[in-house]
Amino acid sequence: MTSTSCNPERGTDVPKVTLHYPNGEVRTLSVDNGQSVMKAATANMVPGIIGECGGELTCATCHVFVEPEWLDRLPGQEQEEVDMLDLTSEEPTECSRLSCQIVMSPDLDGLVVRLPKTQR
Amino acid sequence: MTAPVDNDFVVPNLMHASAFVDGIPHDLFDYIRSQPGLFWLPVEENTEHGGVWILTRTKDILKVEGDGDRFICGYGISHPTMMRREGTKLDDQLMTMDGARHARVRRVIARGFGPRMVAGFEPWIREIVTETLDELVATKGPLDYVPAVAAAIPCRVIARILGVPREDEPFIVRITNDLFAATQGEGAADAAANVTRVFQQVHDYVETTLMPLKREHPADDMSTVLTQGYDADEISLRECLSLHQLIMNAGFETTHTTIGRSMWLMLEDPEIERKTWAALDEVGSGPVVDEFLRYISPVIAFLRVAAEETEVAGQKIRKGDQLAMFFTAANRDPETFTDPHTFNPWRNEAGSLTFGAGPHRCLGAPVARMEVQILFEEMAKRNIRLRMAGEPKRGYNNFINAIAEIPVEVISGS
Repeated sequence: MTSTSCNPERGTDVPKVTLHYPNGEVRTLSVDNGQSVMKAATANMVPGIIGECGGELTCATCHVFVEPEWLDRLPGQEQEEVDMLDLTSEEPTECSRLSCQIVMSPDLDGLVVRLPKTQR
Repeated sequence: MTAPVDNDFVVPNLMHASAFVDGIPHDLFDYIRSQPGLFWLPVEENTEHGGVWILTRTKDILKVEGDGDRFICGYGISHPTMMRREGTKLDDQLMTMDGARHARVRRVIARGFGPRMVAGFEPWIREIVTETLDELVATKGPLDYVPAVAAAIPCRVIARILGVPREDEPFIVRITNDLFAATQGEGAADAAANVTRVFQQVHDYVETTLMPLKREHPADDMSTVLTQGYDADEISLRECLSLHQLIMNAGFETTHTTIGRSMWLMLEDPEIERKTWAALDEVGSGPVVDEFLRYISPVIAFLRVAAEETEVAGQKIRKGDQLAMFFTAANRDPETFTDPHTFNPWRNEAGSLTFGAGPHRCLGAPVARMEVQILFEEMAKRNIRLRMAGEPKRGYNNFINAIAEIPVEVISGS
């Protein structure tokens, strides 16, 4: 099991998200306040999140499973996101979100998500 | 501004079908890719600034395809149907929509093509492939592989996905061939008018035959989804009709090219045939089909127009400049693929741009892969082997790596 920070040079005030991979790997991703988890992941070439459509809610390739204790703290879901969760490669659960819709804020620092095996 | 041209290379008009008569000019693309920046191809017709930037590298194409705000589709995506900026935008087609409108319309059609939805297509696609192969092996003497297999499978799959009655399937084949003929060859000067005429035939059929049928007998198919989407005011009538036509054309042409061209390559090159059967046995149909898709690149290129002044590969791009993204060249980019000109189904490299990338990435990719995979699986299982029985013919096309005719004979199989 490895733990890597994608932006080690950055200050500690940048919120962090922990990504758990199906193979047991764990990564920490810095996400600026106001930035989506998908954008931060693709900008840092983090595997497992594709974000094909760039956040237009038309591809469902940035699917994550949010750890249950964080679910209520996340921004609410638009109907478009609910519709697009029907199109994920891996079967969604009640913890499923599209990470392009998880916009970082200080109270989400420490968020934990699990990645699906496939995104498309 | 103009990239240097090596005297050894006479660069043909890559926006015209005549440049692809003898095949894809990979040595030319290798040369262009090896030069710094982007290559400027002078093209007078249908361009704003008298030329087109030629993109051949994976990373440059990913940058352009991934940025739908700066590089837009609304003025067209291929020659000769590109519009100058003062021209009418081609915005009734999903592939030439941008931004929020593209997202809204794409969501309606995406419902039918999600990976888990498509996984459910497997049994009936296998049935279609099996029936097609039954007819193939029952044929004595030479036959044309294009209508017999390459066109037959995607045509029936698309008809089933849309919910087109079996007796109307030949209409889809005819209309698709007409559409591609409309933009190529002798009649190409009137391309936009020709395309509009073919679209009109599709729209008439859908509006007067298919949509009323789906209202009377709703079914688990895309035409029902689209008809209900229109009736619920989610999409306009024009959008509904255009989406029907897009599924017909996009689902047919590229897949039939992949099926036909893969067989052509196998029958022309014993080494490719040997590797194909061996790899099917060792690693399965997925990697084999992915390698054929990379090696063939059924879509040669898509274009974008810069919506603002920007930069790609260190090259300044003006507002209104056209950028041609040659998927066929990026799929042979040595930075992405080792030994890119060798067919190697065991290669373990992702990054093919066969289906594009970004907001316009091919929606039908899972269906297309499944069709071709099942075809190879069934041919392997039934030990079906063919041989060339004449001279195969390429299509005349600058958009699709098109095939016209592949005369074959069945030599074994049950």
